[in-house]
Amino acid sequence: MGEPRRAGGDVETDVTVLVKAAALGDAAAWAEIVDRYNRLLIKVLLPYRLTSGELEDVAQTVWLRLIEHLGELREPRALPCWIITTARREATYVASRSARMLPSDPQDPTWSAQLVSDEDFDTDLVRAERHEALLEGLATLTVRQRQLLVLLSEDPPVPYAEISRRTGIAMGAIGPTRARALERLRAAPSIRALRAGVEESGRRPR
Amino acid sequence: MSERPGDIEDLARDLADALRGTGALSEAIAAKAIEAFTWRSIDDELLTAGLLFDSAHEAQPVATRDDDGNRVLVFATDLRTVEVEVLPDRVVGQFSPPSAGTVEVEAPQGEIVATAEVDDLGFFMIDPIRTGVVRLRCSTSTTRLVTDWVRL
Repeated sequence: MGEPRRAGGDVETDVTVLVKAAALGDAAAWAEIVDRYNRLLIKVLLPYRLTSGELEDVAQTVWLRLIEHLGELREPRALPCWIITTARREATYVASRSARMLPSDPQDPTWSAQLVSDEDFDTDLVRAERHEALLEGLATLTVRQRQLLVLLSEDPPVPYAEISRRTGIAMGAIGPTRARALERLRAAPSIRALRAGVEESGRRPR
Repeated sequence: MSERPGDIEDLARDLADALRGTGALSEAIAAKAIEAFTWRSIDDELLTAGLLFDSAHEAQPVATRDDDGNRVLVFATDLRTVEVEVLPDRVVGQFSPPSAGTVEVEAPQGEIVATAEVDDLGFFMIDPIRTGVVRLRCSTSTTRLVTDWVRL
């Protein structure tokens, strides 16, 4: 069996390889799966009115459940979708319990809309979808590229010297590395699908 | 590559927007997830009963509707199911097909937080139950299984 991951280099590995390795007990592969998708998972949970303790519990439930099902994922490339769906389901339950209300029909869209704060979800589904696509795309970058883009997105900004220290990227290489990472992000399947969808809907008669 | 030079900067801004709010808890959550991998089930004989039905998610089929609005969970393997009803202060459940045994409530990191006997008809009650992330570890004379993790 080939060595699936980087050994000091910064190589992007297909998620299928990571899932298979983790299912066989490779802890480093699992750590990379978590690193890739943790932000996406948290983003999906944020709009629900959860306390930070509840949010941590739901996130942990999703990761624990994934550990037990790694070997059964029929299509590892659909992992982001699995994470999003599982997270939403668990969050809906916890949010509904905290609200001390129970839906007569949980499929009723007005009910699920009540469980999330207005700003993020129901007024801007399109934005939520774009954010998920971006974080899914971020997961396809190399560890170093991802780490760099996350640090550069922080507010207040992290000084370049600090970014260089944390990522091991020389100060002068930060700009070019960022540009390559963003180009790569733009080419990620989830972002391309999103753009195609926008163009498609733009062409359609209103 | 850059037919629209502004494009990439828009993408960077969108990404920053997408990442907003995800930082605060990310390290704690990732640390727990990574730690959890070290105590995953590596017991080949142990079956994992997947969450087949959860009244909290699904439009409820009549057979599993609970008029009191309690959460009903059904975990299943090929041969056996565990049905659980989550009441405000306790959990009642049943093995199917019925058989005697024990149920342990396992918290993350493998800690057993409660144990209950299962009677000949497959019924059990866990009282009280604490809120948190748990799974049930069920044993009968012929089967050992764990359920999916759930947050009660």
